[in-house]
This record gives sequence, structure tokens and C-alpha cells, in this order.
Amino acid sequence: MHPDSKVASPRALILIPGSMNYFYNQSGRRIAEALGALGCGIELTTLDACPAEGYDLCVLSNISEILHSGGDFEQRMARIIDIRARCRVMMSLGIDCVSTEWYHRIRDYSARAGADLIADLGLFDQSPFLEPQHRARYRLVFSGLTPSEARVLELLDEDDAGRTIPWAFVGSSTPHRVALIDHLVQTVDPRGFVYMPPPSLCTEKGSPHLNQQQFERVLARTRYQIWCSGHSYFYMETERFRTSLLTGGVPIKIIESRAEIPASVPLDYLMIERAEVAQRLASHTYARLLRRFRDDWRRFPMLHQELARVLGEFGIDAGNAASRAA
Amino acid sequence: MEAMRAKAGVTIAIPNWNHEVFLPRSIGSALRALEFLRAEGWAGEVLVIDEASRDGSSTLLRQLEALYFKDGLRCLSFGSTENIATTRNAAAEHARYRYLAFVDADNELIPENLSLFVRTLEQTRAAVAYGNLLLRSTTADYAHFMHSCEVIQKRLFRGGNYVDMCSVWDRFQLLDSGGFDSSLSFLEDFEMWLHLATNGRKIVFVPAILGYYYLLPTSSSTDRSRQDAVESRLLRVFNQAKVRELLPLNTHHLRYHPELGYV
Amino acid sequence: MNSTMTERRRPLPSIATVYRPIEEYWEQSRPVGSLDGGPTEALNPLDAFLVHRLLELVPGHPVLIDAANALTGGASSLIGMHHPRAVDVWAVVDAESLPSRRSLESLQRYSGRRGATPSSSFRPVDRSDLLDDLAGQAGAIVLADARGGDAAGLAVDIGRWLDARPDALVLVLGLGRVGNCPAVSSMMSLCLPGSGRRFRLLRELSEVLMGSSLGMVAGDDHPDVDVALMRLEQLYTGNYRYLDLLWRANHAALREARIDADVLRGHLTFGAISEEIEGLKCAVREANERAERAERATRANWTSSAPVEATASASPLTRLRRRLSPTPVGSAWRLAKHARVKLAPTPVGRAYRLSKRVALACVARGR
Repeated sequence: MHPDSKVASPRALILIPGSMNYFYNQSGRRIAEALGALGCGIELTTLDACPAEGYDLCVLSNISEILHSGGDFEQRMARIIDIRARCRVMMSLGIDCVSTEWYHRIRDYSARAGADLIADLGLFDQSPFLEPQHRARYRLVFSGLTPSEARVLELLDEDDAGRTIPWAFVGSSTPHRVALIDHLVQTVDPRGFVYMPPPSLCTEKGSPHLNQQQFERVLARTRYQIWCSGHSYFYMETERFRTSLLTGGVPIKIIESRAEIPASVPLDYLMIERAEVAQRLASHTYARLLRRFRDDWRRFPMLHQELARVLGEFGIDAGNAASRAA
Repeated sequence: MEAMRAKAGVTIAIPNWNHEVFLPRSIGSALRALEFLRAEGWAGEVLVIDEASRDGSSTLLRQLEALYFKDGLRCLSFGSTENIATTRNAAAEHARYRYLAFVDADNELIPENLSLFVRTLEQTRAAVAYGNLLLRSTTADYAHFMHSCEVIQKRLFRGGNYVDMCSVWDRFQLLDSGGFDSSLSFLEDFEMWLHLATNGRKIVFVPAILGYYYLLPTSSSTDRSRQDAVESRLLRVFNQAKVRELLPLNTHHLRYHPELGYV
Repeated sequence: MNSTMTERRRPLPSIATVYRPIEEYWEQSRPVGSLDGGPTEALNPLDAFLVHRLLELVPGHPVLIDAANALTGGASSLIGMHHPRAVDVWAVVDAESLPSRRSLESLQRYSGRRGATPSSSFRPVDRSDLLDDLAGQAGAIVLADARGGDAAGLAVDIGRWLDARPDALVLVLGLGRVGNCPAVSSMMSLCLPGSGRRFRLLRELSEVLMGSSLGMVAGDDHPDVDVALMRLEQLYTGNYRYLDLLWRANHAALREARIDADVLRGHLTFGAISEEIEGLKCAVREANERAERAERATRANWTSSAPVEATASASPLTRLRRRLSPTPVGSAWRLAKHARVKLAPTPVGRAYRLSKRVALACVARGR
């Protein structure tokens, strides 16, 4: 094709739940920004408001929440199947541990909807943890930064004088997490910010719980965001790492044993056993950890680069769309 | 008398009825909390109110007051037993300072964190500030449950109190509101939350750990059938027309941290 | 009293209730000429309470003769003025002493001020008239203060008071350590064996009274002193010693009682942790079964030429663990460890550790 010929940029439809947990709305927006950086045309909407058009790519963020965000399940599934018929490629997005029920539901619903791939927006390849028959559709999309997030990272300074909250633990309450909180209170610093309501939805508005904006305000005044998984499998909660990065703090995941960390997983120094946490979070280590964390993240691929790589496998030439747009 | 009662500072009130075995823990934590408060410029006292205990508490309190009066320990003993609502009202009447923290005799404060709640009251002018409580079994090293871990929501009017009385009060607002309903032997705390909420007072959640709540084998809070009956009556009093969730509420979803403001 | 609430009950005496009027008197009058500092420097709260209790324990109608008011700024008189037994109070005044006159003025202002509600009033008694008035007064309890500096003079005064009224009790504030305090030495000299008098330090009644600086001088044969002091001692005799030791002792007893399991089982908050433990147990069983199947398959496929990751710093065991981490063997191991950690503080964990100790002991004996 002649280089002067105009080729239409890929058009992407991104479906978000809207009214359920806010982090899947947020993931959808991030994907939208990244695809936009690749020059794609973007339609970001909910299933109820979805236009009846065809697209090159449809992204479902997250299929389970989209299906359960109101209305009849089967009718909503039928609509998604209909959308699949109008799109070249359907990508189902997950930000979950593949050993959990949440991912299994994504997997099963995605198969039913006819999705071509399940994109794991994560920090490490979870395919070794999948049964062999489920590996074919799985793709890791490394959750690098979007352009706007990269700008935020560059503007952060290392001055921690305003970080008067020593640590923050935000998540739903389980006995294991409560015991961990008690341990942190006793051994690290009792003045931590603790918000652990019973499990329920965290919507963007109207919820009694912290939304993203409020959560970021907390983290912007906190040194360490500390958490542990609510299940017993190894997983790196992508959004936790990313949110800490962009609010200028350090994420610390508490694990049972360092031996459970697979080889070649990034940021393993931020995953600490419970017994070591008091020693490892001594005040003099904060600046060093922060610097190393930021430097490491700058070396990671950007989100749009990852999307281009993965979509290229499925015939979506998003990688060149940016140059065409230029 | 009034001038003294307007003093800026914190009274940590510990109602006691036959909890001799647990008093060293609760009083010890309260005295340590006073040390942290003093370091931040707050005056304070620990006020133990004994309701005619028969188990050795009165002797123990006499000894402890002799040893720790200079550190701020004050003891009041009454010759007859009323109920916990009456005891809390007595604390409100006899406290020396403006801010009043209630700690049950079998529970324990996190000493370093009390000032977060006092500062919250100062900054928000709320009637009450409460926070997370870690629940432990009697001698456990770690908690297994968290209580009082959510903001005030309108579902409170449907029943099921989720906010414990271990909290910090503006004593003047407590007195001006009429104090606790002394006719109640149960759920006087739940009644007070509903009373404050419906009277436009602010009840603020602080996302920090206020203390430890210990479970005991014969705790009165485990008697479910009596609680259910009282709760039904309270819901009829405060929400007979079942419209509370549709009406405005000053104390709706209030969550505050002194380092952050409202969150 | 707040008009929206009525607190009708009167608390029993404690240091707090006895000392509160003194603190309020100090706030309002700020008496000058007395010892500098706050009220606790002028009058030790514990000693104020002990004087209050002694006024209660001595039978009859005690009269508090306050010869210490010059040094306490009048605060010592309030002990009697607010005593529920409506004790009469004499405030001994030395017309030639400025602090004494000022204390009297403070007391008079306090009595006359609206809001001060003493149980009884006081009357000033000139020091020069004290001996004559004392001689005719039954139930006299004289309060003196050793901080005036004239230990010998104080001993002479006390001797004269007891000569004038042999059944009087003399309470002396401000006594320091034996060996360091001239007043203590003077009291002991006054009360040598055979003198007919006896000197006691109230801090010797109980270790919890070690903060007291109050002493008592009375006739050897005073009918009420021994009983009063015995009752005072018994009020402060309990089963414990100190706060931190108390906590450790109680905590150990609570652990020994082993009531945690019963408490948890009966409480509604145990549902979540119980489900979590049961879930982990099931997961461990399933993972163990998968691990056994995987292990059999792995053994069958393992060859000596299989590549092993070369990591200079990791031990062979660590390398093997990392390699097995994503496999069912790794899952089973992690679940088992997770379950052990969760079960450790519960009766299941304790039973496991006990059985392990028993097993090890049996093995050791078998050697």
C-alpha cells in the first residue's frame, strides 16, 4: 500500500460496568487512554448505552461485573454475544489471580461470549498457574503506565515531610487481615490508617466506602501502603502497586513466605514476610525503597506498547496507528 | 466548679462492675494514653467509676489510686449498682475535662492513638469520634475481627448496631443531649447513636485503631433474645414511619482523619 | 449540675472526691504566702485522703484543729470543712505570721463565696489560746506540718498539746525519709520507749501508701488509734502488689483457664474465622491429593538431564522450591503452611504442638 494512502485507525469499543466496583471502570479508562495513544478511535461506555455499531476491537472490563451490573443476566450475555459478532476481536480484561473464583468466572463467561483472549492486566505471567487447556486464550498485558500516568510520575518529588501517616491498610475485612493489622499495630507503628469494612461494593459515588479519589488522598500522605491477599494464592495486586507509585508512596505486600515468589517476578523486594515487616520497614529504609521502586518502574514497558504487542497477535495493527495518526 | 469543668483536656472514663481481673490492663493502657496526650500538650485524667463491685475491685482501686493519683488516676465508687447508662452519665457529670473517652473495664486503649480522636473532635466539632476496634478472645495475641469499622449509614435505622461505645465524646454535647437513657439496661449505646443522629449531631468515624475489645464468656452482649426485644422497641421509637433513610442526616458517611480532613 | 440530667447519687470517698474541693479552693483563692506550686505541693492528695479517713474512723465527734494551715494555704482545713461527719474545724492562726493571716483570709473568702458548700464551718483560734481551748475539747485531732523548718519546736508543741489533752491525736504532714528528715528524728525523740507516747508513719501500713508523708503521734494507751490504723491498713490490703505485675499475673491466669475456645465458639464473630479455617482445611486436603498425583507424574518424567536454573546465590533447595512454586506441589505446600499459621493459636494448633512434644519425648525415651 502506498505510504500516502490513508488507512483507517482501528476503532475500539470499551465496555465498563458503570455502577459496580470502581476499579474496573478505571481499568477501562486506562485501556482507553493507552489505545488512544496508539491512535485508535475510542468508544468508552456501559453495556446499556452501547451503540449498535461494528468495531475492530471490543474490550470488556470486567465481563463478570458488566453482566451483574443490573438487569437480566442472560439478556446481557446475549447482548455481549451480539457485540462479539460485530467486532473483529473481543478482549476480556481481568485484574485477578487466575487461581481464584473471580478469574474462573471471567474465564467461563468469556468463553461463552466468544472472547478471543483474556488479557491479564498484571505484573507477571500467570500462565504457569493455569491448567494447560486454559493457557491458549491467556495473555499477560503488563500494566505499564499510560502517558498521563508517566507525566504524574515525573512530577513526584521524594520529600516525605508531609507523609505523616506511617502506613495505610485499606481492604475488606477478613480474620487473617485483622490479625495482620494487629501485628502491624504492635510491631511497626500503631498510628496506621486502617479502613477495613465488611466486603461490599466500592462504587465511584454514593458508597459509604473509599472511592479512588479518596483513596489516593490517603496514600498521598502515607509512606507505606500495606496489604495482603484475601486468598491463599500468590498474586501481585497490580492496582495496589500502581496506585502507590502514582501517589508517591511505597507498596508493601505481606506474604506467607518468600519461597512462594516465582522466579523472575519484578519488585520482589516489596513483598515481605510478616515476621520481617517490623525490621524491613524501619524509618531509614523508606527513602531507599522509594527510589528503587520508581527507578524500576521507569524501566517497565508502557501500557500502550504492551497492548500493541498483544493485539498484533490477533491482527489488530494498533502499533502503526500512532504513526499513521501522526 | 464550672470553670474547672471547662478545662481543655481529656477524661478517660472506665466504668467498672466486678471486673477486677481486667482493671490493670484497662487502667494501664489509659495511664499510658495520658502520657502521650501530655506530650502533645493535653491535660488529662483517668476516671474509674465503680458500681458497688463486690469482687475485690474496690480494694484494688483504692490501692491503685494511692499509687497513681499523681499520674492522673481518679476513682469514684458508688454504694449501689445502677446500669451502665447511669454510670456513663455519672462520668459525664464528674469528669474534669471537656473531652471524654469511654473505655470498658475489660477493654484496652491503643495509647498512641487517642489524640487522633481528640483532635478530630476539636477540628470537626462533632459530638463523638469513634474508630476501629480489634476484637480478641480473652487472652489472644492477635485479633480475629474488627468492630466499629464503618461510617454511620442510614442502615443503622434498620437495626443491627455496628458501633461500640468505646469512643471519644464532647462532654458538653453529651450533657446537652440529655445523656444516656438510664432506663435501658441493654443497647443504651445503640439508642444514643440513634438519638444523636436524629437530633442532628455529628458522629464521626476515624480510620485508626482506637483499642482492643476482648470477648468474655459471660458478656452481657451475648444475650441475643433480650437484645432483639429492646432493639425492636428502639426502632419503633426512632423509625416508626420507616422514612429515616429518605430523610437528610448530618452525620451521614462522616469519615475524618486529623492529618487529612474529611475523607 | 447540668439541668438536662440529674445525678442523685453521691460517690463514696476516694482521693478524687476528697481532693476535688481542695483543687477548686486553690483555683479560686490562689492563696499567697503558702508553699509555691499547685495544691499538691501544699497538701499531698494521699495524705489529705488519709486524714479524711482517720476523721471517719475515730469514734465520737472529732474536731479537726488545723495548725498546718499557714503552710498549706488553708487547704488542710477543707478536709474537715467538707467531711460528711460535719466535723468542727479550728483554724489555728498566728497573728504574727503573714502566711497564717493570709490563709485565714483565703478561708474566710472561700466560706463566704457563693458556691462553696462545706459541711461545716471553721472558727479561727489564736495560737496563744490553743492550749487552753485544747484542754477542754474532746475528740481533738491536731494537724501539724513539719515543713516549717523548726523540727525541735514542733516536737515541743506536740508534747505540750498531748500534755494538755492526752487523748488527742496529732497528725503531722510533710515528714521526709527516716535519716534525712529532722522532724522524723524529733518525733522519735519525743516518743522514746517509756515516754507514754507513740509515733507512727502511715506509709508503713501498706506498700501502696509509700507516697504518704503523714505521721501520727498519740498516747500509748489511746483507745482508738490501734483499731483505726488497723482498719486503715485493711482498706489497703488486697491480693496484689503493683500494676504491671498485676497484669502479668491476671493474664497468665486467664491463659491457664483456657476459655478462649469456648468464648469464640459461642460468639457470632467466630463465624468468619471458622469458615476460613474449614475452607483452608478442605483446600489443604484437595491440594495434598493433587500434589501426590503431581509428584507421581513428576517422578515419572524427571530425568537427570533436565535443566536446573543456575543461580549462583540460591541453594539447591531454594532453587527446587522456586521451580515447584507454580506447580500443584507448591500450591499444596503453601496451603499447608497457611493452614498451620491460621490454626496455630487455636485449640487445634495447641493439640498439634502437644502431640508433637509427646511424640518427640517418646522417641527420645526409645533411644
